[in-house]
Amino acid sequence: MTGAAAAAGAVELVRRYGSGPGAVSALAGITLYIPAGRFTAVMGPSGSGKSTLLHCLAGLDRPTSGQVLLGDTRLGTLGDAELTRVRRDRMGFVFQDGNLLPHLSAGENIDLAVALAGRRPDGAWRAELVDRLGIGARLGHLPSELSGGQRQRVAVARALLGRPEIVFADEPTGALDTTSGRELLGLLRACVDDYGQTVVMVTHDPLAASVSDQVLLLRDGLAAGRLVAPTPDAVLAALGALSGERATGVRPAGQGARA
Amino acid sequence: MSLLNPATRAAVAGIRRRPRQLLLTGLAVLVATAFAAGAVLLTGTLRAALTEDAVHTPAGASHVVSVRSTDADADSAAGTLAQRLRAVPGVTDVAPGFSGVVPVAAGTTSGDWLVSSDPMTGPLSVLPAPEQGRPAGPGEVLVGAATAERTGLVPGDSVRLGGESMRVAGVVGLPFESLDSLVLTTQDALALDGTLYASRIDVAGDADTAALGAAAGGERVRTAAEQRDAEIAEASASVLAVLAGLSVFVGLALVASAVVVGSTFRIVLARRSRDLALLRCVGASRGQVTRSVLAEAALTGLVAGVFGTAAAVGAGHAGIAVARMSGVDAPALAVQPLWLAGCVLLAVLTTVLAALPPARAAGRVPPVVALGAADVTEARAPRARTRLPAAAVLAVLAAGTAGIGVTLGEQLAGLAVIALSGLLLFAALVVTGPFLISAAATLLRPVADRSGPLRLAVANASRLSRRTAAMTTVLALGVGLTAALLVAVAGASDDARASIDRAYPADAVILPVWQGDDAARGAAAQQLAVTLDAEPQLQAYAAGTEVRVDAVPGADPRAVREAVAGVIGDAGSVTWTADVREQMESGLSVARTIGAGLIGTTVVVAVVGVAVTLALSVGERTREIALLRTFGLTRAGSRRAVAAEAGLAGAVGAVVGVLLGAVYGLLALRAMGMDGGTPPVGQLVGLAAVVTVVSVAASVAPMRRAGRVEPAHGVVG
Repeated sequence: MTGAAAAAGAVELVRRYGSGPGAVSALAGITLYIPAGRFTAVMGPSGSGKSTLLHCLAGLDRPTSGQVLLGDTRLGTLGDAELTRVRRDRMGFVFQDGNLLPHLSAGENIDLAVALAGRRPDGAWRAELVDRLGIGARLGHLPSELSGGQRQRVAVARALLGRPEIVFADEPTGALDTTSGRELLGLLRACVDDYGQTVVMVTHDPLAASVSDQVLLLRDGLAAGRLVAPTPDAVLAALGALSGERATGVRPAGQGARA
Repeated sequence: MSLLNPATRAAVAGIRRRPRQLLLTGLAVLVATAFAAGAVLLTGTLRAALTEDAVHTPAGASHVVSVRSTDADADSAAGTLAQRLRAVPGVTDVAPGFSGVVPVAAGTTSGDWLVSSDPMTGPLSVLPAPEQGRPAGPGEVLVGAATAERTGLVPGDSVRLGGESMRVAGVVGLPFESLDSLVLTTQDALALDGTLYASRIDVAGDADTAALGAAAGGERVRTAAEQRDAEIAEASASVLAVLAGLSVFVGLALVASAVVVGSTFRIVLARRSRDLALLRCVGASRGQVTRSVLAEAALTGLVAGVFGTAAAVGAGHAGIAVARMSGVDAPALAVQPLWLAGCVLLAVLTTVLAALPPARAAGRVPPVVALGAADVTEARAPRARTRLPAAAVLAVLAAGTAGIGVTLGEQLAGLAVIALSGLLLFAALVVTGPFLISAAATLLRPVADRSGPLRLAVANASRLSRRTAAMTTVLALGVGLTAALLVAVAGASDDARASIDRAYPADAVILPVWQGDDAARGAAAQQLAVTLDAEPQLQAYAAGTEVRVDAVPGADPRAVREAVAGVIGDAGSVTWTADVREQMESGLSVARTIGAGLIGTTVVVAVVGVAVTLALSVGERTREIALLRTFGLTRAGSRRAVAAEAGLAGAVGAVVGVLLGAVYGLLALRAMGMDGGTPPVGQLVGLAAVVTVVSVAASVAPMRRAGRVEPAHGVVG
């Protein structure tokens, strides 16, 4: 990954919950960079701070100290309205589930962020995304009428429609069966390869992480290592080493991966 | 649709897909709007009916001269004034309009009748053709149709008034006949000038207004058209006064519905917090989220307003149809589209204003909630630091205004100030409601510990104190108004009874007529007392200028009345204490009924609030109830927990309402210069009990829903 420009980064990021002796540090001064145009996975045992890191990088949570960068923008200096605009125009989101507004059709959900900005979607780009994600026939349907895999693909289309600088994915395969999960990971991978999209994904699942270009490992709120071009076995081994005695063992993909 | 921002579009789409929830949210506003529209329809119909009857100016009149003097011998008296007017060039006819309430004897009864005059023929007669007999001539009278029915008088009978016997020439339909009524000729009325008074003189012909003005001296001269306009305006003004009075109660119902709607929006939005956070996450600004909630509120208000108004119009038509079928001469329903549109607008405004705080809170939902990181409900505790001082200020203001109201010495103004004080205290109650609920829950905890469902109910009530408080404050408002009404009516009854006992120390009091000075009246009273006392059933004595009559113990009341009527005839006006009492009691019972009807709407809104809040709460707590079912809560137990929550809200609302209402009822009495006496404790306890039971009854639907929750609901998704 050397030589790639950084799309986002964190400098000595601290996030403490509570105050006084009972305070808990979810992030304990972590510094890291997210390379542009690459697929980065963030992994770590429960309580390692990976969700908090994602929330801080996405401007959804305010760090206690330290800096969060998106390109040249320091998120810490922005007010709520500016942060909202940054999320709307420069970021995309894919969550574990509950990505879609239940009363809007798939098509309306895809257009949501662009429409909130008061713009019209780029028709050709939208058509390509819909075609590529294979949801063309489902655009008029409500989320409740779609399968879990289709719902996640709609969420990916929404995340990419605004051509964001970075896409944050939080356990995107967590609620999917193995086949759908693998399909979705393939699509995310293709976004990076074909469109040069930057993707950051938090996951529990070594199989999911193995699709990425690099895995950032976290423990106790600090960076604990990096795996480039990871394989599932390498990821498992690294996690096992991190957890020490609390070895995670082999988990089938798509199960037990809930946050 | 594409004009709306996507957040709003999502909210509107949600409403389209779940219209039941919108109706549930807007139900309280619907009831209040139906009441508002009902008030508008009632007054509109009343205005149409009244203006029809309000015109007393005959079609043939050219001018109307008003008469202020009541002195029969003065230069400005109706008789002399009429003669001068007749002499004005162009005048073809004049007719002074006399009226008065005077003693009339008919057969074996005597009483005070409404007597008026009419020329009977010519352009200035306003009477319709007699239903029976013929128009009256000199020495004759026409009897009102309802009066004829009540007294059994028929053409050919005779009545005595003003010391003369007069023949009944016919029976005629009169617009208002609450009192026994008869009409005599203008000439005969002139002879009774001093007993009857003329307030106006109708003039026919083509005389010049200025010339009439000169002849009339200082009296006001209007053309017939001007006079008709003035008469209509006067009737409209009285209708507007009715509308103003009703609008106070409409306002109270709207305030109650606003509290309910505010609370239901809070619940509904708490359930949707994840969707709202998702919107924030993908780039909706706080303003966009807030506006989407306000748009939803406006739509809710619009639908509730339209349905409520339509319900009122439907009920109005139905009511009139029923009245007509049962033979009542009901006027047509006057539908004023502009006013009804105003009612719908009022519903929209109320809902939007009520939803404003929850909408702003919705805008503040942190976007990170969308990732399931934080579980946000509206359980956030209300801030004591801002709320308690505000409540203290309101309470002090309420106490201050109450003090001013009691010491003002001006009845109506005092009452208004007391009402203002009540509103201030209600505001304090709204602000402190959540803390009161927590306190009540703490008090109840030792009792509740003995029953699982009850403990659950108390825990829920205090955990969601804001929501429970909304239910109880609205209930307290409705119950408080009712309690104040009960206390005030009871106090006013005591006061009226006492003053009747003072003014009428005997079974009947008779005032002789026709005597100029007190000495002559006294003499007449003495004479009448002697004659009356000679009757075997009667004991009579003169007291000043009046005669007091008591029945001999055991005498037949009917025979007593006939004996008095036989002696008095039209020589005096007889007032029976029993009649006065009966009139007072029926008047108060009418006041109580009307008051209960007006306040009832607020109570209905409050009960709707309880039902809606519980329905939404149970929907929200399905998972929690299921989990408890897994741990061994029985089906009946989950039902009982909901019922207990309703009962708790109902009981707190009822007790607070009864206490505050009773205090304000007594304050209102004090402001009107009455001491109040003992409050009707039995009625108040009954009220509190009924409201608590009704609250529990309102929870039947959510109770059944809670009972249907299966343990599996907690485990699956």
